[in-house]
Amino acid sequence: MIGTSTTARRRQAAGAASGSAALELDALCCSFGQDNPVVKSVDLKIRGGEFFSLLGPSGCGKTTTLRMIAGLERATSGRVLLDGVEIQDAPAHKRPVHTVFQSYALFPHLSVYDNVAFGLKERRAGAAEIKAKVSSMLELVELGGREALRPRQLSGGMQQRVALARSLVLSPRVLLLDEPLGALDLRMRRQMQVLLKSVQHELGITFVYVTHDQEEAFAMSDRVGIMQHGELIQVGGPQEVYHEPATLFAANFVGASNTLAARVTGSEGGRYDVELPGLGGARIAGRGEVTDGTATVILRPETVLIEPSEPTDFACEGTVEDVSFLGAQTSVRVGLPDGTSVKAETPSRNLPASLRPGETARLGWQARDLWLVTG
Amino acid sequence: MKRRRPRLSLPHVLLVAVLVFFYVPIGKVVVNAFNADASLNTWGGATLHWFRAALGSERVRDDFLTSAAIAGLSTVIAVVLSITAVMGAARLSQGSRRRLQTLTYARMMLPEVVIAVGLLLLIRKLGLNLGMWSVVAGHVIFCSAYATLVIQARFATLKGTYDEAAADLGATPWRAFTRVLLPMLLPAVAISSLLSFTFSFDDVVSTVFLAGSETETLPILILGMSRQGVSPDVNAIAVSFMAVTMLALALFALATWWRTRSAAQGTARKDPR
Repeated sequence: MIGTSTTARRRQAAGAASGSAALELDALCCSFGQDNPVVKSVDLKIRGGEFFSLLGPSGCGKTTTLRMIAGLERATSGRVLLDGVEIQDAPAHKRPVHTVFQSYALFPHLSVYDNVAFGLKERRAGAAEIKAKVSSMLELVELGGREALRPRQLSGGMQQRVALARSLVLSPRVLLLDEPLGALDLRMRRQMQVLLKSVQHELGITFVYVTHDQEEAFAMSDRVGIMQHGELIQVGGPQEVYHEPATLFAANFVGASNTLAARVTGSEGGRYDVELPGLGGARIAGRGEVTDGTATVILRPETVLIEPSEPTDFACEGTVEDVSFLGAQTSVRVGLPDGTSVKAETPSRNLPASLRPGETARLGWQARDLWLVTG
Repeated sequence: MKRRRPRLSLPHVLLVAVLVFFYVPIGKVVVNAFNADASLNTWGGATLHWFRAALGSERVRDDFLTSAAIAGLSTVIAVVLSITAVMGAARLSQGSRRRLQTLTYARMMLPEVVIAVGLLLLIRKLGLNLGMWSVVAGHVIFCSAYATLVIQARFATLKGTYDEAAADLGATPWRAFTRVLLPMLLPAVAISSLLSFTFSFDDVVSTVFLAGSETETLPILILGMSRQGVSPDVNAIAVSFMAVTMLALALFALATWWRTRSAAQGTARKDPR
């Protein structure tokens, strides 16, 4: 979508983008009213130039966290540091961070050009500078030639890009994005993801991206932070968060998983000796403090093999309950004799033809694909 | 297909009766304004004589200008007050805002006589003279209540979105107000100005109490004239008066139509890509 030949123009468009900042949240709290804590002591360090996503279900406090960084919500306590400088007490209009809002909040009475020029005029930039920056920024988001239109005359995707341009043209030290793709259809989202990632990569601006869509977060982010009930429960790269979730909630939120109850007979340095009732035992990796001798074991559906040709650490047999063709993948649910169901996901072309609901199927998986969580 | 026969039912009869009751008096005034028969009992042919007589009278012209000046002043003051009230209320807690809103409703719900008499007593107590200014003060009290509600309703749809976006882009609260909120409030400001103007322009109750002996508005003049029996030129004054109000409404309707048309044009466009 974007060629490397535009890099120079982009750098110029972003102006002082080289000044992208590291962001630190220190014990940041926010309560709405006396006993309604929305964000409970969030500690987070985001590196300069990083694409960081806050991921969580609605109501988990991710948007409130973002609004505290922007200055649109007052932190009840805690600090927000931009390259080590405290900004939590500065009003929104004095912070060198800018936001792309979920609703875009484009000014309907101003043209596309004037929307993008809005912040530059507030800075009292010269007319020539405004013209040059706005034009190159509109080129960057592929809206050249639409300067005179009003926002309502644009499609959702184009409005989104105006909102992006309006913030980017100010060369923010940190760009905050609050579920900016939520209102777009799937095809448009994919396009915008590519655009956002390449813009971020080439301008080198620190992005803090709020979303509830784990695929979106994984596809674009350097690191993600998972939030639940106002707390940051895990921060890590997409791979780490997916394969080594901190809690059961994190495991389920970032992708479908089978959960198996396990007895824990011993643990040593992040390795646990587990006993899966009716399936056997193994020493597996995991995270957390086992207190009462029980824990949950996570088994990702794509690691479950159907009719394995090689021997596996765990093997069982059950009745096929459901086969769902998803395109490239097919999802198969197998009921085990003890009543639990195990979901397996396998490339559709590898699927044995005999697999139909009601038939018996053999399943197998390796101990290294299991992950223990306690929370 | 069965054809529907027009039926004479009770609801139909009632509807017609009520409509007659509502609009025949207005129609009668309009017709009589052009009636050449001075006794107004029969139709004596069409004439513009009464209009010439009425509008030629200096008293009528003066009173018309007084009415217009009072309505104009009341509108400007009421709308400015309302905008500041709405902006100020946004900074209050929800409870205070609700109490303030109750006070606003009270200005609309309370009998106008009560407000007018209250203001009159206050002015007497302070030893001030009645005049145009006291009429304006009385009109601002109720006009600003309507204006506040209209502007408040529009502002609620902007608050927390556009002011935040402007602040996020570096605009101070004042700049956010002048560059974003005020332009977006303009339709509501226009509607409330029209309401205020028409309410003030034809107000009798407050004006009777607060005008004093020196100030006379058109509605007061009409009231006085019709006390001594309805003379044909009262009809002409009333129709001219009505025309001014209708003109204001027509302007407003035109503005609304123009706005919706341009909006509809906008949304009809599709992304060509």
